[in-house]
Amino acid sequence: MPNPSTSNTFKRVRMVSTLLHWACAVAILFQICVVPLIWYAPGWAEVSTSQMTISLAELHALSGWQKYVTMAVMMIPSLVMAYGLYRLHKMFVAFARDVIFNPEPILHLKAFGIALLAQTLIKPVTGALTSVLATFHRPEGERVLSIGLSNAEASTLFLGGLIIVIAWVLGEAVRIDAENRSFV
Amino acid sequence: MAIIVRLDVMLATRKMKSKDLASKIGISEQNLSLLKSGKVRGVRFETLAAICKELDCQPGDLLEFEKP
Repeated sequence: MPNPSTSNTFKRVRMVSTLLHWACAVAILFQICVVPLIWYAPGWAEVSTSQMTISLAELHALSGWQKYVTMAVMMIPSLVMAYGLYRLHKMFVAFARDVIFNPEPILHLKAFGIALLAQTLIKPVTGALTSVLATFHRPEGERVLSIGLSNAEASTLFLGGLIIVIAWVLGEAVRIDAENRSFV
Repeated sequence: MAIIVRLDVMLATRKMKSKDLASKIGISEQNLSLLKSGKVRGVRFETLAAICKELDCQPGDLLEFEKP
């Protein structure tokens, strides 16, 4: 017989998950649009690009292949994060549909943790590549290779690792729940 | 499996239908059927006690260990 407090907890999980799956959809849209917005809406991007390895003015001065290749490179971490958020979105959709103790949403959570780690590790590399691409047309001695690392990256790596460990623990919870269900 | 469930024998002895027992102990007919056929991984003490109470028997009357 279901415990009333457990039913209430699951009801709350469903409600919060419904809200969060919409929040994830908005975040995915943001991740996909952030780089094009930096290029095509310069005023908007002043705050969000404070950690960029080269200035916005330098980016906007680019033309031809340099512009598109730099844009593509800058989009890599955003697309990795968008994929992670898509998996997180799928997890919340499953939770909202009461698919909780099931391997499927747990795999989505694990994929999100991996995407978070990958994005954090890729970011300094793409940042360095962006600086090289953006200053490639300059004469020798003025070209720049800029690598940006901050405490935020360390925190995100920690968070990604934490999410993966939580996903493993939840995987065990799923196994125990399945075992419990096979008892009468 | 080494544990044999003798619930069908006990039901026949007590002339009780599975459906009636399932409703009295508060489990589904499907679960009771799985228990009868030994296709479950375990039985809760709570379920075992309820069956024993309804059939007026001991756990040993329902379960038997068979040496492989």
